[in-house]
Amino acid sequence: MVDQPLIKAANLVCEHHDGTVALDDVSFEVMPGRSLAVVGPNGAGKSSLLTCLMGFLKYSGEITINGQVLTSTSVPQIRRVMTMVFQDPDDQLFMPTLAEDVAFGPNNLGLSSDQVESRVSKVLDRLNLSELRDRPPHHLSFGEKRRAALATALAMNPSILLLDEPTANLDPATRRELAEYLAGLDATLLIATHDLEFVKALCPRVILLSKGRLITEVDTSCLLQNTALLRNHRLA
Amino acid sequence: MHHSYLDKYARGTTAIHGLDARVKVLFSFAFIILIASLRASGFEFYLACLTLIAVCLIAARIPTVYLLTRSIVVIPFAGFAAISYMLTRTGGTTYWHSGPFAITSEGLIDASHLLARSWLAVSCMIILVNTTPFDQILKAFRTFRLHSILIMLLSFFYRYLYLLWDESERMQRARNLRYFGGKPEKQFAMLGHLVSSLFLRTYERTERVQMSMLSRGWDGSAAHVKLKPFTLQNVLNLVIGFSLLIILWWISTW
Ligand SMILES: Nc1ncnc2c1ncn2[C@@H]1O[C@H](COP(=O)(O)OP(=O)(O)OP(=O)(O)O)[C@@H](O)[C@H]1O
Ligand SMILES: [Mg+2]
Repeated sequence: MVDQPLIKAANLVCEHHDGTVALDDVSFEVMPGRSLAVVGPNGAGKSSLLTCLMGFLKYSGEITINGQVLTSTSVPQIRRVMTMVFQDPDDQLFMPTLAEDVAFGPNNLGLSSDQVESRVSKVLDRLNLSELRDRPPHHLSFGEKRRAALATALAMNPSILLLDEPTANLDPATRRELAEYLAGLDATLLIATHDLEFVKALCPRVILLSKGRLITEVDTSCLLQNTALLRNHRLA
Repeated sequence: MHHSYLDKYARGTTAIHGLDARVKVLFSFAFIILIASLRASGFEFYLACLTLIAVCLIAARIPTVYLLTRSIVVIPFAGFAAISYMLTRTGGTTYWHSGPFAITSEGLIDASHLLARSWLAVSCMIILVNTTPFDQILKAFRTFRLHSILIMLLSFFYRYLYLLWDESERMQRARNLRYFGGKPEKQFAMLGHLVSSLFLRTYERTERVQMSMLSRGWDGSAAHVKLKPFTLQNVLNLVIGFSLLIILWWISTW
């Protein structure tokens, strides 16, 4: 049997509340285990694409996640298997302590308190955050917040994980560790980023957005060799 | 602002913290209704209430200074009402008057009652939120069939209060970076801009925080917060609590 795509977007047009059109006729697919990167200059619509896939923006066209069409009724079900890490970690973190913030998602999944606690400890441990578990998340350093935001999403054990600029503000060692960690996950990733090294380590395919339009979808190695294309779209 | 500005001690382990959330919520609201509904009450009544508050503070290990600094918030609100009471009530000895306004002994007494009662009510609430985790209070409201929209509003208020504060700190910092004094009227206009964009920015941030909650499976039900069954011990505690309130009421009739 041929695998069906985990994410399928067809003729996606999507606008913000104030009418700004952020995506214009975008179509692509993500196959299971084949993580995809979304690259493009500032304002290209990368963040908008991810928020739209999570069902937070008005759109026309069709989004199918894991075989389910994204509608207002299917969206709670979809968010149990697909979650997102926002570009700004301050948008992601809101509980009084880091541990509570990480526990928020698993609690909503209806796990027992023991299961929740074991997930929280495991994720915090993997991301070197155990010492910060009782600190208020909005008083962490920016890089720590970024890892904390990631921890809150990973604790959901998602099969699809959308990451918006996951490496911004991380020191080089943390960035490398993050790439290794994500590569070892069982989840399929959709990563919006400017960090081409990171893309090379994690995603075999890339889509290039510019001004809300899909310019091309290629293998990562091809994109990296095409200096003219990279320069044209402010990626090099 | 720290997340726990209003409920720093909520996760304590004293006997008061261990009481059932429903018992504490019922008692607190009954206490507030009692002090709000008494028209005239003597010095003994306030002394008794103050004693009750002091006992709770000590038992729950909440510092007095903490209660005092947090309860200052009543001053602008109750103070405004108290001043209008003071200037408009007639009766008793008149100390001063001008046009429709007068300061009389009755007015002064009414105003001080109002201030004292507002302070007691706010202190009671501060003790409640500092002895009961907020999600348990919400859960207790839910068992009392409070409307779910109201509960949702409360939970958002609790979560977003610190966002408003943080956002305003950030904006002030950004302003001070590029601001070197100016005419008062200009400053005033700038303050207006600052406040309006503060609300807009906070509103947008709350929207994004809500996205983050939704993308982690939140549906507003706080399904994971579970209260234990209501036991005989809880009933007994409630009876003791309400007996205290009856004694307070009786003192107020002296
Ligand atoms: N909340 C919003 N309301 C209105 N327009 C918005 C909003 N957020 C983004 N936009 C607009 O939508 C377009 C796409 O923005 P988006 O944030 O998706 O870009 P991006 O590719 O993520 O950029 P960056 O690399 O800077 O993060 C931009 O023109 C932007 O101005
Ligand atoms: Mg972005």
